[in-house]
Amino acid sequence: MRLAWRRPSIKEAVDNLPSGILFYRTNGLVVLCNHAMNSISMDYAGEPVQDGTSFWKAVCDGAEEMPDGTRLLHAGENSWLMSAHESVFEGAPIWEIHAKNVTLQAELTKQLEEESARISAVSERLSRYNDDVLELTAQRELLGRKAHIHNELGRLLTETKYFLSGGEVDEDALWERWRFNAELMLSEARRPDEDLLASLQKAASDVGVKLRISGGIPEDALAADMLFAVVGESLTNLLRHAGGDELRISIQVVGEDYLIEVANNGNPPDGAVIEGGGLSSLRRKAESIGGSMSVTSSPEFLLSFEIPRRCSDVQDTDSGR
Amino acid sequence: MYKTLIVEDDPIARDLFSIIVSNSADFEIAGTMANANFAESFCIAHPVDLVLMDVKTQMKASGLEAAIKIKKSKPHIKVIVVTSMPEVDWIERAQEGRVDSFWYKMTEESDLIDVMRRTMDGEMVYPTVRPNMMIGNVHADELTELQIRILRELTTGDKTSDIAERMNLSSRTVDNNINDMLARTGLSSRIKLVGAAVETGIVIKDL
Repeated sequence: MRLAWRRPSIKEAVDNLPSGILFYRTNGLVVLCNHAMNSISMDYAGEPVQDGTSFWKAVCDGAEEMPDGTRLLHAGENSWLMSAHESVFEGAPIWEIHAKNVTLQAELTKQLEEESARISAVSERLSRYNDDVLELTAQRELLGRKAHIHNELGRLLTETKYFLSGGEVDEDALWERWRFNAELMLSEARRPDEDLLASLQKAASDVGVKLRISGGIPEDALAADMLFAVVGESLTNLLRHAGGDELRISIQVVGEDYLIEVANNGNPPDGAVIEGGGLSSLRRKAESIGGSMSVTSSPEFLLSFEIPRRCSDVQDTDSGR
Repeated sequence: MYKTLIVEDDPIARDLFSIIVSNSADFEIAGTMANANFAESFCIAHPVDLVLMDVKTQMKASGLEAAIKIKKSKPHIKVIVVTSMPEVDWIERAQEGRVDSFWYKMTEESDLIDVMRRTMDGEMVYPTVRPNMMIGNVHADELTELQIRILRELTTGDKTSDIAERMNLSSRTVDNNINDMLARTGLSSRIKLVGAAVETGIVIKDL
């Protein structure tokens, strides 16, 4: 059977489409607008489509632009993915606006984003928790050793008192234990407070290298850990390959990153640097915390690291000098 | 006299090792440091016969990594890895990296000199038993090797799918193993599972 298409039946079919359809001339004159599109306009602007150009401008102003150029419009309780195309109809240019109902998808995407954010937060907490546990374990170990020394002193005092009151005790062993514990206590009393900058300087001077540092130690723990790994490897490379005796470290805050640069006064490498175990390990470390490493071999050997700043409280680059 | 480098971030343990070394007749201190990152350069610049290397050192520098590097670049230097954490993976990694000996700190301190002497005599001294820790209701030894590897990956906080991809496993296998561990340990969530594993030192992040 042959269908006889009539203009009213096309209009009726278009009107009943679940998607919104709008055709308008470049001067804004509406040629065709179905129920769904009018309903979108009612929900969004409080009136049916009067002028195509104004309507699309209002949509563009209020909708979220997607990477493919389409617009995500939330109107009333629905979400619509809208696109515009220019074509020619009856010899004159015409704009076609198409709106697809994506309410369900938008809701699912929102739920997915919320779930993803929740998982990220849990992951972050888990990661931080692990860091804390490591520190806690170290502190617990330290406390355990202190308690052990305290208990040992208690036992020594009791045994000494027993010995002084005429009891039978291995005298040499007793004095040996006193000497051991006294040495331990004295060494603790002499121990200086930890100063990270000083410990870097000491590590270099211990191997006969002069360390020149500009900028302070990063306050961000991951970046500070990275700096120590970089200095350690650079000292090894300087002694093993370059034959110099001075290491220059520059630490700057550049935008959202720390920029750590290392140079030395040794001989530059012949040709391009082949990354061995040490440099590869540094690159892996940098990348594992979201940073990067680059190597330049000419005119001098220069190692550069960009390490993201994670903590908000960042030390001024000059204050740590 | 064997020149000994002590790498240990716990100041009391460092002092203790220093005293043990200084009081012995056949060892002397070459240097002490808290950060394993600087051990290799020290060994290049100074004559060192033995390194006592803690696994977890200052600024999260891995002593195990440093020990393996020293054995590679200076194989004649003897290295003893010392730790109080029973991470199940470390002994294996130390052996693969040709580290000479491995010593648990929680054994009596007097054993250390014995291990140092045997190591200098060319013996590779490794513990025959490792401290067996509990995770919830089970001993760590009762978990499979794969489950320990999954536990270690879980410490990163990454999603199951990322862990599965890194381990060349299906997400279902990873999930099944996590569920099995939860059932056996009696712990109620994967966070508690990882927390218990890390607190006992069975798996350690990033070392």
